[in-house]
Amino acid sequence: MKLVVIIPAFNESSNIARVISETKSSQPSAKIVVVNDCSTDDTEAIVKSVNETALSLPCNLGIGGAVQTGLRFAQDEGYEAAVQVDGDGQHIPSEIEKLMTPIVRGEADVVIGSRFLSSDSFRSTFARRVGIRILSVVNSALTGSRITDSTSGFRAYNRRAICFLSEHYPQDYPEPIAVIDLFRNGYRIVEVPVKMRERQGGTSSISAVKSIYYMTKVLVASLIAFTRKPVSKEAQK
Amino acid sequence: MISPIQVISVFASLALIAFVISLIRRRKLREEYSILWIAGSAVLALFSAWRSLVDIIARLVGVAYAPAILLLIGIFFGVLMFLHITVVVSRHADQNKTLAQEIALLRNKIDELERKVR
Repeated sequence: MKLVVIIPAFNESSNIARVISETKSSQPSAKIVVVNDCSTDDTEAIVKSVNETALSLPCNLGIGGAVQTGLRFAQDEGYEAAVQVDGDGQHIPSEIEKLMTPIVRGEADVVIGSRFLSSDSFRSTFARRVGIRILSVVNSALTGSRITDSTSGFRAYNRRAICFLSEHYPQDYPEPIAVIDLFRNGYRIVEVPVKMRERQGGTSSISAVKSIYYMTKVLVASLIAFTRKPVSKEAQK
Repeated sequence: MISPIQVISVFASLALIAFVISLIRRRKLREEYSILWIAGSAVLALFSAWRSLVDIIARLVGVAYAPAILLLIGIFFGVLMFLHITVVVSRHADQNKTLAQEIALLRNKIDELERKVR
């Protein structure tokens, strides 16, 4: 299966080389594409120095816009599957295999790697854990399927999902909103347990204090997204 | 009886209409965004020219202090304009995003082609 690994990166010069080399060794046949979201450090130079593709955005779009750039690349170049791996090193590339299994078997259009389905994974701060839990409960209720980690950005998509998301990827709270949009448009979403690491460098885009504010905004956005009409089949083509 | 303030406000609102139209003529303001402005300044001119209109509306809707109606209409128009501008800004942000993505994809294609040529 023609696979592309999309790695969104914003100022990840301390992690990106390791993420790339780990991805290469666990998925040797996959194409690696780093989406450089207008980093101010030498992220792009590092990617080029190991001869991998860097899609460099001329201005900072945020995680949603960056991931969508990779998905558009996947669609343009005819990839059959895409995996999204964060550039900060918290996703473990050797776990990509687990994400891909339901895609390869044709059992799902989208696979989400969940920290909370396996017990031996890392634990983030209390506030964030509670926030993620509440979001996941709402997401599960809205989609009627069990979603334990709706903010996880460790995901795999098949060709159908790539084509849909390259056109309709949410920008502001992309991970949880994308789950709802995908569900509303009839895509099959499955979660698999994966291990994740603590961040190795840099700082998370969401601080503990802002978690509650973030959660409230995402909840409102999720509920509004749920009332959105599905995109018609013709428009998807 | 015509008071000086009425003359001033009629002239001011006519000037606003003229200014909006001249902005459109000089292509400083796109036609699609100007409808609200023209409509708004026309309403303003109407209220200045026809003074008792405020009292009539106030009596109709049961407002004791007639000038409050003017404030209400003014604020309503302001809110509407704000909303309109945020819609326009959102659309532009979306178009910007698509352009930025297209640039990144094209730049990559150019790099690849250059490498092949060399």
